[in-house]
Amino acid sequence: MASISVPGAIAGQPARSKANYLNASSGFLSWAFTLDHKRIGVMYLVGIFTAFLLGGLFALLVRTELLTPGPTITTHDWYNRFFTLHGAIMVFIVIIPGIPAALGNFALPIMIGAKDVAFPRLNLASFYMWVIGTLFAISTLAFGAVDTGWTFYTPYSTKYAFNGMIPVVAGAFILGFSSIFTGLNFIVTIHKLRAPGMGWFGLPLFLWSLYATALVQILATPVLGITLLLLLVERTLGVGFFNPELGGDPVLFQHFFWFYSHPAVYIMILPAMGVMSELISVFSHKHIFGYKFIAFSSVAIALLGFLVWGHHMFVSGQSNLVGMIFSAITFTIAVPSAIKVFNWLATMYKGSISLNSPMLYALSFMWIFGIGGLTGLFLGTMATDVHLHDTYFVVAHFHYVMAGTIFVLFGGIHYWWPKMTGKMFNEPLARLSCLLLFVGFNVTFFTQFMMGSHGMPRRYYNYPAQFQMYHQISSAGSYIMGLGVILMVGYLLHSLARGRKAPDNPWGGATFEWRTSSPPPVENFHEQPVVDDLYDYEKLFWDEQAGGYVRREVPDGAARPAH
Amino acid sequence: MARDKGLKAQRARRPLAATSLAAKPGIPRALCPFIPLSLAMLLTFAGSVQAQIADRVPRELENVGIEQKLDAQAPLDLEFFDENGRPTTLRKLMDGKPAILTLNYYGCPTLCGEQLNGLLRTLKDMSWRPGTKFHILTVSFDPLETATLASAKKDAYLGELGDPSAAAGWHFLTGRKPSIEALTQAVGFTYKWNADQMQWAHSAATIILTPGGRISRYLGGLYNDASTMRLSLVEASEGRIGTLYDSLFLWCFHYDPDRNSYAPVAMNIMRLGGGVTVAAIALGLLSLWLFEMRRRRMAAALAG
Repeated sequence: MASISVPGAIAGQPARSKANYLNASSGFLSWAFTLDHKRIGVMYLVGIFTAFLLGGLFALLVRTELLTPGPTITTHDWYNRFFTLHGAIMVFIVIIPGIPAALGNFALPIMIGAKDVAFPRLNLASFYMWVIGTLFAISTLAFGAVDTGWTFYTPYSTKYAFNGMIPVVAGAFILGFSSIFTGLNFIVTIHKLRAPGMGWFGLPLFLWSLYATALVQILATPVLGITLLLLLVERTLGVGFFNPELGGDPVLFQHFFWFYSHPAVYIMILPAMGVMSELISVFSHKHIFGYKFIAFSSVAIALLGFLVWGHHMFVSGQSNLVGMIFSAITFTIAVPSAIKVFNWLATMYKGSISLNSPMLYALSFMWIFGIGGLTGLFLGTMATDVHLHDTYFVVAHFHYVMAGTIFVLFGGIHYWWPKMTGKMFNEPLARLSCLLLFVGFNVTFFTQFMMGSHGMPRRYYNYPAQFQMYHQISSAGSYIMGLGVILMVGYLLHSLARGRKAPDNPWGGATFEWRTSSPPPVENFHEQPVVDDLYDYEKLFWDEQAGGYVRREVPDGAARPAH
Repeated sequence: MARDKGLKAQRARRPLAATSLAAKPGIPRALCPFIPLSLAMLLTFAGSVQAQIADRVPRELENVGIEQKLDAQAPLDLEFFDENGRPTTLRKLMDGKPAILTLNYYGCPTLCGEQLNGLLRTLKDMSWRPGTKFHILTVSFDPLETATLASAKKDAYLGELGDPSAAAGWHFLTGRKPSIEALTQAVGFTYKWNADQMQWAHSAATIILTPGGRISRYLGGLYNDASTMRLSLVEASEGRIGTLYDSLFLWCFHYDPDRNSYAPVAMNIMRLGGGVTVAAIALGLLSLWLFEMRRRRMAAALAG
């Protein structure tokens, strides 16, 4: 959509070529060697969603195994491999790259009015590194798989675990490079390719969060890379880094691992919070409340995220003083997180809220992340953590936090789907799918809070009969979620074939991507958009004829019509 | 040179004391029935007795060995004699460089030869020569040995090394008993005369000294690979010798006495990786900011 406003009329619709980034060229090679950030984003999305389905399948296998105590569908060895693969795939392959690599790649350059990212070739390279890392990780199934859990704790991983350890660790190492390259590309792109006149405080909040995430990615991921490299060296050459028998220190591995993996939680959550700011504002049709607070809280979360890894290790033998310090810093992270949540609430207050499917996902996130954050207080407090450590309470807590990200990823996919594909999906089915996921998720994991607080340890194949009811309810919830995901895949694929043509601006967004056609042309814009307030919805009006929102100057004294 | 003449007496072989049971006055007959019983008990407890025997250090090797005194000061100002019989001190010979100290005796038929051959092998593998970056002090702990013997030994080893320039850096020393004892005690080297075999009972130690004479490292074994020796010397030199790469390597790798070589240190490798990452990001971001400021200034100038 043209950005030059025409008073009292629909913004100019100059004759445009029908070429867009999807149909500008065709054939496998045109996708395989593309340098277009949008195509790379779409390829990431397809890959990540496929990996999500695989990780979800392993989750369903785990939950099915736990329907009864003792053997149900498999042996304890394979059960261990199932939950390890579920965790490793979901964390390293799906959630960490999910929003930045898929949605960020698609949206970032358009949102700053650029034609592409700063380093398109590096972007493609990082996608292929993601593919290679993923193939390495999944190839573990052929090598006996891995049974260490996604944390790869030593010396179990270096001495005892199955042979799949080497490919999975190599895979995570390669995925780390993909993550670093993406972060690097985003930082340079935001610095150098912003549209003329777009200052730092004119950036959409999603991009502030991507910038903060990119900093964490670049700073923290090398720590994981070096740690995994040391683990590989220990496993293959017998050099004693972590194995006490070889003079190593297993607790050092935990320090290294969590020094990355706790910030990794923010690599997952920060982009989700960025998407949330967009969704809440757009679907409340109201200017975002506390722009600068939200922007700076992203940076604050990114920085504080580096200082709290020790709360994963309260029972590892670290001193009480160190534990107390980590505990105290952990609590401080609640401040910037709460700033965001309260600003979203304030944005919604007196807003004209549309309960479209992306907004439903956003509201689900607020519920889920709220519970995830509050239960984090129990685990961040040393005294209660000792009781709850390594129980299902922890499992439920981190699922509430991490899967919150998945909810936003789904919200973001629905939000940008019309822009990506040029097609609208079936909205009632989308709402039903969101409902199934929300209900299924809470049934699955709220139950786990209860059994965890009663002492059910995580990762166990067998359990006392008193926990069977909890496990069965939890498994039933996971099947409901599975149904929701299958439904989602169904209507999204259906929309590609039979979906209604998407208007340029179906939701009423004010950021640049809604000012270009759906799907966007190869170079993103027909005309360079003019920078103004990207959260100002006063100029957006619903247009029946276009089937979406259009930009007009508000006539003097005219009331703004609401859709 | 009339040194320690009294010590020669030590070397007189003393006849073994007659200890045979038969030679002793007769065992009382009343004890005879207990003999089979005692044998049976002995057989019963043979296992434990054997274990005790295996654990015990042979009498000949008691009080022989090396007690590591890392960071202790070696007395550098004691008087020793060089291969020409001229009095000198370790400090003069070291000339402000780190040193490899070996304690041997030139008449040693076994261990010392092996140790010095091992050192020779290491030197052949090293690019550095004694005298340039470091010195080697081979000190005889037998106070009866003379400079003639030391000179012959030096000629033999330098001939084998095939580099005459090393003559200025590998010193074969002899000394009087007080100097030897002061030195060996300071470095924790204990040895004793075995009159039965007419040899000194001792162990092998390659000791690395800092330029100031502090003990920096004990290298075990009869042979050390060239890189271990080089790194030990770099470490002992306190940054005076070696390249930047050596210093960086030493930061990430520490000596592991169990393996007698340098092993990687996970924490420092991580620190190095972290430092490089942070520096790279800081440089990258700084250049981006500067570029952006320049662009903004140019845009303002054009607009103005």
